[in-house]
Amino acid sequence: MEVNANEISTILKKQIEKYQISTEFEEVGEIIQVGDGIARIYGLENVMSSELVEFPHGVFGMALNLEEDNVGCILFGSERYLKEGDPVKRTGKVMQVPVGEELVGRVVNPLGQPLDGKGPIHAKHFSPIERKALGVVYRQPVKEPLQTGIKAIDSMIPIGRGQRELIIGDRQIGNSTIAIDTILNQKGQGVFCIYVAIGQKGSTISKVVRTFEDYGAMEYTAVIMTTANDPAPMSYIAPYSGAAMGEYFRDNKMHALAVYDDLSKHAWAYRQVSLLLRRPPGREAYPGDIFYLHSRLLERAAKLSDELGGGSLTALPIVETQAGDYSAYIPTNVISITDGQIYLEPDLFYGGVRPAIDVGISVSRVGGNAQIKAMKQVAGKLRLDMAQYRELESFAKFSSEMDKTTQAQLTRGQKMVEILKQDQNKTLPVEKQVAIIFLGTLGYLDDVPVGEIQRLEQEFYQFMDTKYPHILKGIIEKKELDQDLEAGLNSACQDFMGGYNV
Amino acid sequence: MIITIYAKRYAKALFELAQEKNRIDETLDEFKFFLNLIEGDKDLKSFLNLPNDKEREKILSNLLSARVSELFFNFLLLVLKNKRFHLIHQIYDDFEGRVDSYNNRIKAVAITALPLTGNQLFVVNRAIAKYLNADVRLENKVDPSIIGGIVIRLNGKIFNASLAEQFNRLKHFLIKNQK
Repeated sequence: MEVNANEISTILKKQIEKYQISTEFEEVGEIIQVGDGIARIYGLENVMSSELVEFPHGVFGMALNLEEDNVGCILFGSERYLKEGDPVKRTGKVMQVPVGEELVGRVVNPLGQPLDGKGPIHAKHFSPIERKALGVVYRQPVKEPLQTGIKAIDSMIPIGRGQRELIIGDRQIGNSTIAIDTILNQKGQGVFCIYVAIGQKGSTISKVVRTFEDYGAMEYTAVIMTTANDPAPMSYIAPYSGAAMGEYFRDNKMHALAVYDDLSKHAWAYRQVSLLLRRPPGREAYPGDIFYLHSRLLERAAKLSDELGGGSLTALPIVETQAGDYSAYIPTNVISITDGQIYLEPDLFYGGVRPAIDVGISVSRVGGNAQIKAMKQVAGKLRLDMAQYRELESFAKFSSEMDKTTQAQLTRGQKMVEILKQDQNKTLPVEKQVAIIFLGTLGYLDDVPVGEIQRLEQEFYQFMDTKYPHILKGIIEKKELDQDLEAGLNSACQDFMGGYNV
Repeated sequence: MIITIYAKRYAKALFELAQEKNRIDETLDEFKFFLNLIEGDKDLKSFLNLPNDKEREKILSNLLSARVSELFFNFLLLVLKNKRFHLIHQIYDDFEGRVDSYNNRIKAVAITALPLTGNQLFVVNRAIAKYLNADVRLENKVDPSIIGGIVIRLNGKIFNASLAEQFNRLKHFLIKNQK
């Protein structure tokens, strides 16, 4: 494309003609001190709490501390060019971010500014980053499932739309993977996803975005990111702007899923900001309102009542523990706020059980309402098998001689553990989950060697797809295993196992 | 100038006493006179900052008793005794602000790139006075970095009609409107 210098001049001329001068009195203060992402300001006597203030060079800030003779602000931008005595203007507005479909497929910072080089975002709607969570009358109990596509979760720790389910575990054992897989599995489900990366490595985020692109997940996903070198105030507001973007979908009769990865880094960022603003430190030097910090964020996840359109915002916060310490301050806080938690166990992970979900202590307090009935039918038996297996597992290490029932329970358990293993980024639709768990719980796999199960599983899916697609379709349509379906599934299993042994 | 709450408390006390005695304007004049005195004499200023109560009181009394009222003299001694003398300029600023608002008068600073002439000052003064419906005490400061136009600063408010600001806004306007 050729650009004519004349053309540019014409455009500029037109624009300058449109430009109007209007000057008003503005309320200003001046910087007393600036650094470490915060500024103290003298003046601005009428400024309100969490009001947006404007610094020179296009830097914005938010008033957090209103003190007797100064105002403490956090800065959303570089403080490099700010100096003592610079004027600071009030804006009279609270902090807002662009929301809506325009953000889908984009990578933005917590202010909604694009970071992906795909041009400006022309959003039609804006929403304040801090909004009061909805009251009780505007909500209804969680009832629709949010399929994660992960067998171990969908069967035993089901997550519903509007639920808040915590993913918790040590670093590097697949916390984010569960959340990312869940996002991948929302393809075609009518759920918009928001992935909030808080203070992560740039390389990690770019890998995640690449995964989303490879699996076509960016078509319904927005990524909000702050990297480890962004100022702490940016990390502090990141999940709130993510929630604001999710709320837009929730309030417009749509479904959204927000992943906050992770809230321990968020707590660190807030601790830094608070300490610099000289708020008194409490336990582990976190400020006194660290609980409220997370509760007001997660409370914004909701399933709206039918009068309000029945939209939902599901929250999947991630908390990283140090050396498996679930009873540290931030983990216990977030555990008590959420509707359940998925524990990841390093021993399982290194033992080859991946996803390394410890199904014994993971729970979903919403429970069976968030499952289709067919899954509920097969998963009841699965949960029982797993519980018995766990009980016997440690005991079995001591005695070599076992009676037949014990032996049978042990093998069943081993097979079920094997079935629940799943590779990264390979999500499974619910009907196939039902089928494979059905196969396992009815004991068809008891005679198959453990090493064979993974291969058998893949063959089983192919077999079902080619020979019995109507059964899989039946499960989706009826959502429950009635007598016909159960009989059909049974005979399909027999057919498959017969063929397999040959 | 930044006025700390410590300075505000002293200014408030002085103002209220002056008001009781009905000597507000006189006290302001005395204050001004005193500041001029110490600004003109570096030795006196550093002497007052020394921690020697007895001598200081004597000398101050010799120096000032004929020229300032008992009220202001006592105020000065208190400030010295409480080791707040370094705040004296802040106290003056706040006191002046209180006197101004008592007299329905407002202090304004007009920042320009070149100094304003007497007639210009008068015009600006009248314009602000009309806008605020109050008497205006106008000060002129020169700051070449604003390029042209005028910036008016009132207590905590700013009216920015400088060329530098206009250029800045034009820049943002052009960036925002690019497609």
